[in-house]
Amino acid sequence: MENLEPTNNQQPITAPAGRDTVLHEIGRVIESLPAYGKHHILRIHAPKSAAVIKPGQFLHIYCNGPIVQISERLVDPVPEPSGLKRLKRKPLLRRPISVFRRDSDQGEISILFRQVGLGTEALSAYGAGDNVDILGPLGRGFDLDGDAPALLIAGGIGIAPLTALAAELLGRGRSVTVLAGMRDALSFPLLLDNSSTILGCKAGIALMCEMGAVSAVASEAGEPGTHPGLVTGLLEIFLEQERAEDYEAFVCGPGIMMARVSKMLTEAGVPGQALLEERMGCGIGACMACVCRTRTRGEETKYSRVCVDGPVFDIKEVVW
Amino acid sequence: MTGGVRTNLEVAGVSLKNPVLIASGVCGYGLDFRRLADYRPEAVGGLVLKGTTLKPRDGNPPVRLVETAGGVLNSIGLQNIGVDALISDVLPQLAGNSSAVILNIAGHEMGEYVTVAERLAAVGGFNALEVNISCPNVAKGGMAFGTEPCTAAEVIGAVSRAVSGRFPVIAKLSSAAGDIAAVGLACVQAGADALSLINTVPGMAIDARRRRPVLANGVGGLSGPAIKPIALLRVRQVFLALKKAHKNIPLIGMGGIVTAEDAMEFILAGATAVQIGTATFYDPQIGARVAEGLEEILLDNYRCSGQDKDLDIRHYIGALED
Ligand SMILES: Cc1cc2nc3c(=O)[nH]c(=O)nc-3n(C[C@H](O)[C@H](O)[C@H](O)COP(=O)(O)OP(=O)(O)OC[C@H]3O[C@@H](n4cnc5c(N)ncnc54)[C@H](O)[C@@H]3O)c2cc1C
Ligand SMILES: Cc1cc2nc3c(=O)[nH]c(=O)nc-3n(C[C@H](O)[C@H](O)[C@H](O)COP(=O)(O)O)c2cc1C
Ligand code: FES
Repeated sequence: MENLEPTNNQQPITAPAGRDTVLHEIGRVIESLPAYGKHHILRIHAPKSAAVIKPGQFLHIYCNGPIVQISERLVDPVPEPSGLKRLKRKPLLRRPISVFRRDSDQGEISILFRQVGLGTEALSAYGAGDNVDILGPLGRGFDLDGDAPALLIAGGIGIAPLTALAAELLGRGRSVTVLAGMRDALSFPLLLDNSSTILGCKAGIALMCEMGAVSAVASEAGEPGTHPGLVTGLLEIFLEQERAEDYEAFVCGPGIMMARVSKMLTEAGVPGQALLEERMGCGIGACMACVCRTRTRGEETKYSRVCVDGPVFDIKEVVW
Repeated sequence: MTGGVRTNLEVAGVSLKNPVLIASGVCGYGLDFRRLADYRPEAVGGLVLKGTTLKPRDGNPPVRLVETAGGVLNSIGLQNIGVDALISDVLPQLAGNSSAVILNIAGHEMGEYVTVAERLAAVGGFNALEVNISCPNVAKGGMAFGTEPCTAAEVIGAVSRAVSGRFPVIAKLSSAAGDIAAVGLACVQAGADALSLINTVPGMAIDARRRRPVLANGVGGLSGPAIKPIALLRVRQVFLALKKAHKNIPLIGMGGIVTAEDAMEFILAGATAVQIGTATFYDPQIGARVAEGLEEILLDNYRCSGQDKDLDIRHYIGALED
């Protein structure tokens, strides 16, 4: 990879084939935007990561101010985000967060996250100008080699990595259809509009429409315009109405949702990839904390590491 | 090394550039870190590789790890590639590693420890063998060996005979031993060249909403800053017991080290070297930072006292004033 020479005064080390070099970057928050409900968007100036990160890859974020070299600390102190002072307790481990949008020209990455605990609470306390300590890019992103029309299926916050993916696929000239599920309008982080023209549904996702994708939204609360119920209901209609086997699917959401969606897709003969989540320690493949069960050739199953073997897996590979 | 500071030393005949090692279980087989653009393997004293058993092990089902107050609870269950793959796939890649390589072995039963140790000693390509008699995650054996002096001595004795002096044997002690000093002494009498302590402390985390343990395995091992006071006490107890028995055997201390000051506390309590585990999760360069920080501490002390001995890390070992 270009411009990724190891820093000076050390022996050059090559990364194992097929895996990206992992950068340690101190990014700077450009803007912190509270989104709906407990969701948050952070726009981060992190040019090194922005230049190389691919959809489906993630950043391992230290939510407790920047870690700096001892020598650097003396010369140029990097201040701690002031919002962290309000927290009762501080997180110890990094937290894995997907890339939501990126603008490599501006050196900018956005993340979209849902506040569920200590780490994400700390992250939402970051404000403009604060330093964010980032390790990344990590993991294998989505395989983008296909050319079939893309069917993106999101549950809740799963829309975050699929937004980065939609932008990339559209840029490559592939058509993108998005089916998104949410509990209610407030539990969904992105703005809804009336852009949907598919599956008898009016509600679409404003951002997807802006980018040039078609979308439809299912809501358990059944807001007007949405498909009342689960995203699997939308998918059922899609499978009935469309020649689904011509599509390639990309799935991200809660475990149960991904399991059901994968089963439906496989039965309908639709190939697909899913982005899995698991709690992480190191994020670089060393600690074996983040495993999921996968099937290798034949019937044999094993534990694979979500952080390096994934987080994106072929839906047929995962033992759901 | 800067300004006459000396942090290199020997532990059980193994030369270390500095007394900071990366603990078993957090650096895999030492290869994953190589993907880090700013990785400096030469900046730490060495790596202790993931606990390895005779056959590859699948480990426990997820969830395997959760953060708790000031620490991390894990139940990896010793997922590892097995000794044959360690020998054929890993050791050749570590030849010429710029710091010491210590292998960590575990087993279900005595025979497994011995076979693994024999195979490794026969091929070489590493600096020392750490024997985990204290892993709390394996139902059969595992910790059971490390909690009683006689069983600990049996395992360490058998491994020492299998290795027969070709490599130093380090016994890794459990915090759960009733009398850790007695277990440590028994291991030394059975032939251990060094003792390392402590392994994780048994614990559990509960998800009250779901009324279930967070870890799929129910029980896990606690590590990180939360266990540091426990670990310091254990190191001190074992150090004093060995001193009383006139056994000059080095200790490798660990448990919750995140700063150079933490490392210095372990050294003062009696550790010759230290290991860092959990902290590498948030800072993969923590080993280098702690090692550099130790040099700064020595320099500061020297500036205050003007005494040359304050520049040598070896003068601090066990130097706690009771
Ligand atoms: C590859 C990957 C990409 C991710 N991308 C995003 C993203 O773009 N936006 C986003 O909001 N979240 C994302 N997550 C999930 C995010 O990492 C967790 O929500 C976060 O770590 C929770 O930390 P916390 O301290 O706030 O919560 P904690 O206090 O640690 O836990 C609160 C709750 O969150 C759940 N949880 C904790 N860690 C994880 C985890 N690693 N995966 C799944 N659930 C978890 C637990 O079930 C728990 O009940 C991603 C996870 C992975 C593995
Ligand atoms: C994820 C994880 C895996 C570990 N695996 C092993 C292992 O395989 N063998 C072993 O002897 N110790 C293992 N340990 C224990 C550590 O080596 C160390 O003794 C312990 O974590 C205390 O140090 P710390 O507080 O710095 O983490 C593991 C610890 C963690 C957190
Ligand atoms: S988080 Fe350590 S192996 Fe994946």
